Amino acid sequence: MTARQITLDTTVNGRALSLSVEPEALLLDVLRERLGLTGSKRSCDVQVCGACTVLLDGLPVSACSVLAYEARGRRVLTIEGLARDERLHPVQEAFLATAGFQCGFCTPGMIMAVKALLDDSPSATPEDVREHLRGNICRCTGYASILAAVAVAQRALADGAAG
Amino acid sequence: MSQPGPLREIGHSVERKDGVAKVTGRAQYLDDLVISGAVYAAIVRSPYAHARILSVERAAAAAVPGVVAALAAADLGALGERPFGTFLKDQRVLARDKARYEGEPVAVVVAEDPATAARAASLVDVAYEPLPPVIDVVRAREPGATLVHDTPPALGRQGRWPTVPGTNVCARVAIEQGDVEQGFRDADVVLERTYTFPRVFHYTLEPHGAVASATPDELTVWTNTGHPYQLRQELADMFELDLARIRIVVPYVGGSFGGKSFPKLEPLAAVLSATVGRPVKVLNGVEGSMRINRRHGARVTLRVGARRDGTLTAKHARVLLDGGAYADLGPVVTEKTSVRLLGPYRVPHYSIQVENVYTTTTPAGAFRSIGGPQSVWATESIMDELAAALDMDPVELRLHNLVSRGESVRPGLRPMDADLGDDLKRLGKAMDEAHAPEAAGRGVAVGISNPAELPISTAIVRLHYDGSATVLCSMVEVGQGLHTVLAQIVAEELSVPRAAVVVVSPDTRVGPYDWSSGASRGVTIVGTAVQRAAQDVRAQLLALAAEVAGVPAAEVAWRDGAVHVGERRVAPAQVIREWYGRPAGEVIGRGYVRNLGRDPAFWEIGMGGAEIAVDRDTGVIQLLSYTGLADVGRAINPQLCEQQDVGAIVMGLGHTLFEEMAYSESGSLLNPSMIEYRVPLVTDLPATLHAVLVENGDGAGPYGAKGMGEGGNLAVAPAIANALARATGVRIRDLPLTPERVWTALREAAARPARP
Ligand code: FES
Ligand code: FES
Repeated sequence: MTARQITLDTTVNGRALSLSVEPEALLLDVLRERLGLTGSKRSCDVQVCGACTVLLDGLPVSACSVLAYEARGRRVLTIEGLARDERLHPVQEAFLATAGFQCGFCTPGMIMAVKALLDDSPSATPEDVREHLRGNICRCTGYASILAAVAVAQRALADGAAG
Repeated sequence: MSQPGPLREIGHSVERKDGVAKVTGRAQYLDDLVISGAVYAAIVRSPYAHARILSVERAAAAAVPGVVAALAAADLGALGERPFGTFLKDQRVLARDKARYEGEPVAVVVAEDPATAARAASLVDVAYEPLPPVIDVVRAREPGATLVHDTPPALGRQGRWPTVPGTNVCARVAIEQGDVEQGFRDADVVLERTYTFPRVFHYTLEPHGAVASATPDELTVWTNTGHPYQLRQELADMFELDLARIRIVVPYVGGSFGGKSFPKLEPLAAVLSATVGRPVKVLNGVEGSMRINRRHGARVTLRVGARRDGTLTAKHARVLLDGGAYADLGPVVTEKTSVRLLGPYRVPHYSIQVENVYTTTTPAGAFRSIGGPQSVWATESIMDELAAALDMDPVELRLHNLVSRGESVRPGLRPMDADLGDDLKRLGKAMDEAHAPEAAGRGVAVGISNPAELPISTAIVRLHYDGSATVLCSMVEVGQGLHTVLAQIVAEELSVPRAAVVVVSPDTRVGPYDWSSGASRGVTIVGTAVQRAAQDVRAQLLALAAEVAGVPAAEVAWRDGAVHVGERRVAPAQVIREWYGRPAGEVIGRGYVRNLGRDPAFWEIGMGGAEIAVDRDTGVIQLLSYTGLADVGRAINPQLCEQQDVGAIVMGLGHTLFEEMAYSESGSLLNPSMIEYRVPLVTDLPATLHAVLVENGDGAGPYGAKGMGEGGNLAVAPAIANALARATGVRIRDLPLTPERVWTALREAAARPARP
């Protein structure tokens, strides 16, 4: 560990980690380059598109614009940590059911943003959903199938699917 | 030999093949690949729109620990000299003597890690002598205008249109019919109007990138291109290598919309790898991608004439396309624009001239229906203006002039292969169902385009002895759902489970030739190649079964998804096992497509209708409902078709309401990041948005399918502007319809005395 590096103790997808990172390292770079968790995507790089969305203690953040150090002592959840034992999360199942994606580049961030919303407010209204997803751009789908996926996920979760 | 039965796979919205990989984050895109030994490039870009490059001081950058090389064009030898370009060879991997747009790559630093490369790149000191920028197309065409290219570039391999020497005209196409002046003399009403369309950015979520590994006798490029085989040719020319020695590998691609067609960062990555002797990764981020490619801006001056009963008599169009600094696909865009300006109407006399003009801005290229939205914006706006002048209903005016099925759109092209009048009436009905009571205005527009040029494709289907199948073809799955549809076609033809069909992503070392990914050609052309390959497998299975049974070919037949030898039913995989005598071997089917009858392979039909309200205090247009209509022949996967159309419509909302790459007088891009460049968000969706699919089974593709995917964005802008005119009486002829523009127009209209 060089003089400039700092220790980062954090939990990523349920695994406790102790990493030495540069103080200015971005969370997205640590996830993608150090941990090989390439599901989180880099697009706009300026906290507009949401492709890099991960959950920090359950709250959605843009990993492209958050210092890795911000994750110290906190739980990071990425798209790779969502399915349990190969069993997809109901939000992932819902995106499959409605084909809520085309190229798929926005999808991991979109799914994480939806999960955060439904964890927090399972019966979010369609208006809430739109407002919440303002920070996630999709250039392919025109959003309609994504909104349909959210509705499907809400029904599944209400029916007791394990989230 | 075969009996058609009911279709099992076709026409069903089956789950996407790429679904699980995409919802789990396992799908690997270019930046997710690990290429061992790779070094990273950071690009030094011109801060000027137009400047002579006097010197590139790169010693300081080269001295930074971890830097492998700091390079200017002069360091690249012959590879730095060699121009590339599929239609005009006017571009080099790094600008040599002058930079032609702000953001053009001028030098590159290659380092062991991206951060070091970026840091060292800031130490490269380039001395420039600024030259006058060329930003406005009209001024760029004036006599004596500063030239973007001092010497005329040579034609590329696919080039057909030379530049006009001594001017900034990159390509010029003129088409005419009849005697246009006579046509105007025949008219009772003549209108002349000018419409402008902005330069817009694709914003694929995934930016451009390429990783190249060059050895003296082989070149491998991993890239998110849409055109692996066009790229292979371009690199073969540049490196003077046989086609077989160039390998292009395409992983998952995060959107293209045309923006990743033709060479982009690949030549640079390849030349850098050849220069430093290591694999080189070039990624430039979204802000870099804004300096790679965009849609052509357009200025369309239209004159149309009609008789009092609405019959069109003449059309005259003069168009300037803003092509940016390099040709890219521009010459083809020019040609397509000329035909797309004809529109879907009977016009006895016309004269259309389109010029693509070089300017010192980001190069323009392919973007979802090349020249389509620009043309339809003008032609469908003027139809409503004409209807108003004739005091006719705009839909009636259109119905009166639409070409009928089988009627010529333009001599030499495929006659119209759709019932446009029926389609327009269906659109009207669907709009009635979607009607929003609070709507202040309603507008429609009809777009047609001639896509799928050069229907050249090949495919291989390998049927394995366990009954699974591998499909090799080289059109790129950019998100449109191609692989899913191809798997449906193979499952249908060979009666194998769709889950047992694997479609391989393009790798030119493995997958056979395909012309391109674009122009709505996937299902019609590549789908036909794959269908033929599957049918070839079937034909071979029959021959093998006859051989095994020792019976004449006439005694074997394909029925109900299996080979029948007399009354004995043999599953396809079993035929393979019996012929080889053990569980081994495979049958390899080939499919070739070189044309599908007439050009275009089909007419792409994209209609749309909008209902809006307008806030007169702010100028904000509120879109209440939008209905699109696509005439797809046959929807192999209806869900994917609808989603293509909805995606195209929402993308069209961008150029209609917000999007424009704005340039200053000096040629600086004023909105160079996604903070300033506004694309449609989920909150911009109308309450009602849907797409109607028309299926008459009349396409040239498999099962009567036609292509689609581009048509959805043709009608959006004119439909909304037409609705605005009906709601407010105000006609706006410049896009985007920003609140400021609408508010200003409303205010000016209010200040004008009412017409008597
Ligand atoms: S990449 Fe982080 S918000 Fe766009
Ligand atoms: S699926 Fe391509 S950006 Fe959303």
